[in-house]
Amino acid sequence: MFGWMSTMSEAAVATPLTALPLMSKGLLTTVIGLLGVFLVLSLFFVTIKLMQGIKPKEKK
Amino acid sequence: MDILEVLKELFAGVLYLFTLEGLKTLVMFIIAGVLIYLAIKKDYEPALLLPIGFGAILANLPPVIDQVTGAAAASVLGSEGFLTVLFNAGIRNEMFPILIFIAVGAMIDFSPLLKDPSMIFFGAAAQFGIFATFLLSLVLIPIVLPQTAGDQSLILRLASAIGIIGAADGPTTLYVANHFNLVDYMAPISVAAYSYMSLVPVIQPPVIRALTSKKERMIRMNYNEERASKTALILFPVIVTIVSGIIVPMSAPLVGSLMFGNLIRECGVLERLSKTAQNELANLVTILLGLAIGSTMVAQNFLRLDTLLIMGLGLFAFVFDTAGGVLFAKFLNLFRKNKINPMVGAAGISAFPMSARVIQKMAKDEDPYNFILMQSISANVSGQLGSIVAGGMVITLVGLMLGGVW
Repeated sequence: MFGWMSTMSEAAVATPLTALPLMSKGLLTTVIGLLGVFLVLSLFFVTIKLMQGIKPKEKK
Repeated sequence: MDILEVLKELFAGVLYLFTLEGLKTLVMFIIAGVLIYLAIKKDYEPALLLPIGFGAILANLPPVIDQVTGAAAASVLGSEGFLTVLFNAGIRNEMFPILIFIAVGAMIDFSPLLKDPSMIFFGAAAQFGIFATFLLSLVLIPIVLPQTAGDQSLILRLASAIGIIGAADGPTTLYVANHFNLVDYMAPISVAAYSYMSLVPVIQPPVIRALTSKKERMIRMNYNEERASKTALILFPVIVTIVSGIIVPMSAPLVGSLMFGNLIRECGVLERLSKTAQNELANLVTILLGLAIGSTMVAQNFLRLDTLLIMGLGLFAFVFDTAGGVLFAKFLNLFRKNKINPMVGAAGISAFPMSARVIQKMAKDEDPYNFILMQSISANVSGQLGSIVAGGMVITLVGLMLGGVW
């Protein structure tokens, strides 16, 4: 059932990141980097949305 | 020693100016003069450009020749020169970027973002230029700088630092360049980062105008006047530090110092420290940082082809960051009922608060009653976060690509 996972890990072992051609390294860094920035900022977005539930205290 | 030798010794500095090295020195004096002119006459980030310009003058003064050893022993550089001491104490060990971020954190008000969190995505979209420039650099560096051909490590590291110039965030740029041990390229990288940051009012408007119609630039946006709760303002820096520290640990020093400064501001019990961070700390570190950056602008390190390449690619990064933010806003408008003024997207770069001010001014020029400053500030502070995260991502990923060795 998890055959696809072992195939992927075998491929990863077969081509370590350090052995990739320069442009492949660049493209991989670009795609993962941009996705990572969006992911982290999305988490901040969720955090803020949750915190919006905290209402400011009314001044008497 | 006859009289002629005495005179030669006395006027060694003047004679030096008539050598090839001396001519390069004169060129550096002119470049330094331009930076000082931009600072004083044009008011472009004077707090930074003036110390950088003056630091460059100091760094290019003729070397003092040691009478005993006959070797060049520069008075301000050299192993014990005060500029070298400053550089090693503040930039080589990443201390100045960290201290600057504490000061910047104390200046940032996250409440507009807490009221309108959707603006945070512009802080991510406007990092597009970093990665586009990174890719372009990978193509251009081996062509323009043949000495780097075959050295994948140097090309990747240099491309990373050049791309990060687009973060419009000087401390992050220095942090990445320093992390990748690019001492030889520090001068053009830092000068590009800081000079383009100060040129945001010149660079951004034409790009924005080229990508938007007048009608789009006149879009008005609603702003929720309700204030953010104090608890949320205190929790935000703490949570952001923990989240980014866990997901992108390499960004922790910068995010941590930025958020520490912000917590000092928002906690409400450290007003004295907050004011110190915003004023004295920011001013002191800016003076020292500027001088230390200027000290890297020695003619032999600066008057090279790679300086032109780095300056050119740095400009490309700024342009594409701006375009990334604007185009992302236009893309979102395809699905939104309440349209976003696409100019706000351009404020997603990290040049805080200059970019937000530029956007508000442009909006006002189109429609004197259009007020989008708060949305622009939200996008701008998000850009501050986005650029640090992008810096951390680049350091982590390129580090992995190189197997952690360079």
